[in-house]
Amino acid sequence: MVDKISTDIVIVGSGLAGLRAAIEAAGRGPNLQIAVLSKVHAMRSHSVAYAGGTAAALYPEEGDSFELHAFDTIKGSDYLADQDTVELFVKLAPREILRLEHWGMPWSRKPDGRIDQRPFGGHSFDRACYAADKTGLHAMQTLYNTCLKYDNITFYHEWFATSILVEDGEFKGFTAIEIKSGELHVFKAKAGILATGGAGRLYSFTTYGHSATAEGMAMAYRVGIPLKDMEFIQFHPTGLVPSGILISEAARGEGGYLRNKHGERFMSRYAPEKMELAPRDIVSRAMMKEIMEGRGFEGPDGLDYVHLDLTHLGEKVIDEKLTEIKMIAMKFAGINPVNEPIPVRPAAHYTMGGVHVDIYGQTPVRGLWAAGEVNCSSVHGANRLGCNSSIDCLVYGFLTGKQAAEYASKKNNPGSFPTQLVVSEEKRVFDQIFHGGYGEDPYLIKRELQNTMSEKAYVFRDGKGLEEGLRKIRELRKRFGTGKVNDKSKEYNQNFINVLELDGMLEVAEVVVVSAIARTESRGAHYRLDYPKRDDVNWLKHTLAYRTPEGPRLEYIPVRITKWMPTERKY
Amino acid sequence: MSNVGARKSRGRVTGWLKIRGYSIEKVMYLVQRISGLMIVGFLLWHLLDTNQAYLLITELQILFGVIIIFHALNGVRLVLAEYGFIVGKPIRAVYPYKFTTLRGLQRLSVALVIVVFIILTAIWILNIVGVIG
Amino acid sequence: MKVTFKIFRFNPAVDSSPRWSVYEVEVDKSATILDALLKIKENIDPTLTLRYSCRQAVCGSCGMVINGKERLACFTRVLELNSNMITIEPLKNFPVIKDLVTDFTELFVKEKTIKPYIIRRDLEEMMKPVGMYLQKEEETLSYLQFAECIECGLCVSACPTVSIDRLFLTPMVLNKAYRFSIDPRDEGFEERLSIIDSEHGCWRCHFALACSNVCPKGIDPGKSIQYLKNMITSHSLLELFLGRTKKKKKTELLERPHISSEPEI
Repeated sequence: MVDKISTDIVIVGSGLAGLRAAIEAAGRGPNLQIAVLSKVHAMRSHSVAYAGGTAAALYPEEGDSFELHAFDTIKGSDYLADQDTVELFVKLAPREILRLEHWGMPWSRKPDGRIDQRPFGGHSFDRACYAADKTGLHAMQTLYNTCLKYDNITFYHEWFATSILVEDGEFKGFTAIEIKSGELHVFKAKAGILATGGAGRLYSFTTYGHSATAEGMAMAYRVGIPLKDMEFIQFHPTGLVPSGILISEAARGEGGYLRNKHGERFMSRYAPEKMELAPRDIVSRAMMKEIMEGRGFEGPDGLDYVHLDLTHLGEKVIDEKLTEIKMIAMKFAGINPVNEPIPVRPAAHYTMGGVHVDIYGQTPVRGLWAAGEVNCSSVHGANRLGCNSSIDCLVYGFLTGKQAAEYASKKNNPGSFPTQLVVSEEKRVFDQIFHGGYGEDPYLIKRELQNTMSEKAYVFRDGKGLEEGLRKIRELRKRFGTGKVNDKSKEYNQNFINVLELDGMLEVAEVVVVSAIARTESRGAHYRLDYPKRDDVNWLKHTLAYRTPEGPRLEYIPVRITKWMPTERKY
Repeated sequence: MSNVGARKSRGRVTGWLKIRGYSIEKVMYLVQRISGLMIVGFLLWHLLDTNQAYLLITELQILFGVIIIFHALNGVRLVLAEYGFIVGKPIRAVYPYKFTTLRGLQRLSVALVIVVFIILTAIWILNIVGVIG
Repeated sequence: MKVTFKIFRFNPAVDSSPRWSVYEVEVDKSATILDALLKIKENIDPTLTLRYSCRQAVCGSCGMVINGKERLACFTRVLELNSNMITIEPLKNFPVIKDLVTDFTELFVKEKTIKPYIIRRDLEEMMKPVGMYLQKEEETLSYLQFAECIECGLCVSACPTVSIDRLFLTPMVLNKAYRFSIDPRDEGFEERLSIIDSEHGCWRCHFALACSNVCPKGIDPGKSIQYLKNMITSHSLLELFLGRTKKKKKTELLERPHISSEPEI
């Protein structure tokens, strides 16, 4: 029989959003018990890797404003962002920066002691607060350590959530495997927050760590919550060749140049005004165009690249503000950026889409919220601006934590508990997959899936390629079977966890490709060679993908526009 | 939740003895510990054996002296280091990383301890050999 | 080039004592140890178990003992070891769960005891800030180096004191204690004192510098722990002889009037 753990709020995922939500809920409800589940050690989530900065309008006296931040975000999103959401989001942003500051974040400072801000792609004001180029590490450490202040937060390190329990449209809990013992447990709770991050590992060349495998999205999708705007995957212009490790946009924010084979700053042809600091979709396309037209360098395994040149910045700037980039370039590419340019190429970086939520992060299931990259409150629309995602995690962590705490405090009677769901989940996980699993080697399937996505649903897409991709994914699904677990031991069975992850990845990959096939226009990060124009008449709307046995069923909802009418997007 | 599978950790006192791959300070630490234990041993012997016959054995006398010289000299270095006087200021961690504890004043003091130790040991040995001879 | 990996294996369900597995792998020049291990896991032996996540030396998952020294697998290139025979063991001073995976529970408990967070009296401002605390660059530099800890546990494995005193707070935790105590915003040093100044606290550090030898992030815990000792000593001396303690300079708050109130939902 499955062990039951009763608590008030369960948070799945311990990145920026999850930890921020935990602190907010714990601070608001001292009597609430909060469980934070993480499939890694809580402080090791991939939020640690973001480097560049966190956007907020901190200094209106110097010319910044909420209005400007909102407009930059909406223009960056290629007008697909929900504008009321963006307005709320930019207003809540500065306070999050100050909170982190109070909790110990070592923000880089101006000479007078105020928090410093650096320029970032697509922003018309220098509004990226940063801590050298280790912003993510410091933010995660600050939040994780602050969580330790609250005795009502319990961390469940290395627990893998397998399903959301929903009955009559109401959240009841999660099932999760304790990886160390291999046992399935049930978390029975009044409120839940999903904060499991993005789907970047669908791609082979990606800035994500190995743990970003989209199982949060898959879990929500399986219980009938639609996935929104999944065709929009951001490709970060500067992934280090060959590993894909992120070279932060801070490098260009501090003045780095992109150069092709002939040494030209080719961005002058694509975004004459903003140059390297144009939004990421535009820079990525420019880079791929240079590479496709033969002006790139030849790289290993077909990973052709262009150069990111920092040599003119000087050692002092690099040592003070770009230390992590220096470390990464030296260690993983054997290049000292002080003297040599860095080889870079667009890498999968962010999932604009995600679990469908309303303006405050509430999913269609009562009692369940989603925060951070896993959700799609549609702040980022079709393309996210740099340094807007970390603040999105913080703002939605705050919003969902607050609501979950209020909801859980008010709810005295937990109501019935769907034991039959637990039984069937136990059957699926253990009988079907662990013991009775069949299919091909999961690692082979995973590699093929990643290669397919990287080939067919990359920066440039077209209908034919996407169709081929979809066929391939469906074929892989068949070959995957239920998932074959080769390691039969119970304790710390990583092979088993990898199979469960892959199960979700196949599901989400299908949604990405199906949504991309349907959207016959080019908008933001979704660029169709066969439909190169933006089509506001037919496509100014969000894709919603519902799960059916035959594959995703698509529906559309309109974009909420308040005061910025769509115009041509030029940088 | 459960304690399944947790096995006793590896590495006990052997942690002291591991030197390969670490810097000179780890060697100094090991010698300091062993010499300290030996001094305690000598002291006990000294208190229990009221005849103090061991003082008549030259080799033991030399060894005792050498150990005390090292322990005292290195002890002074440790006092300075452990109150933060010779470990360097906090710096930015810039790759390739520099560890101020493993260079500069601290490293100099290690060298100094070794040099002075060799000189004093030589004097001590010569002295004893000379006196007895 | 071909490299032989000799890897520590232990599966609690099957093995009564650890065993060694040997694999031969073809790796290219730029490969890290983690790349090689994943290659083994995905192509040769799916039962090989190790922690890994970010593969860029910032999450702290893949600490292990590689050729006798504590290193991050993703931060060590096969080439730099200069050897065709690579031995890999789990971290020492941690209980082994399976293969290269060790149990960090104890360490996390120790971490919590020293209150590793900013402690201040102005609680209202901490949760609902109206401004930012000003901080000069030199003030930030006083703790910045020590704030970059990724909790990978390499220093814990290397520390000779941990190997004989299971309750020793460990370099990682003591470094954290100093990082927060010296932070100009923090007012909680005295609350931490009873733990860090205890029998298993910072005085059991004997300056072997094994921690600084293995730290993959340039933190130099050997330095911060000595500063912590200095801080405790001067605090106690002041209290003993003058009957008072040094007060921190008050942090200045710069108000940001434009930030709005919370939305009603």
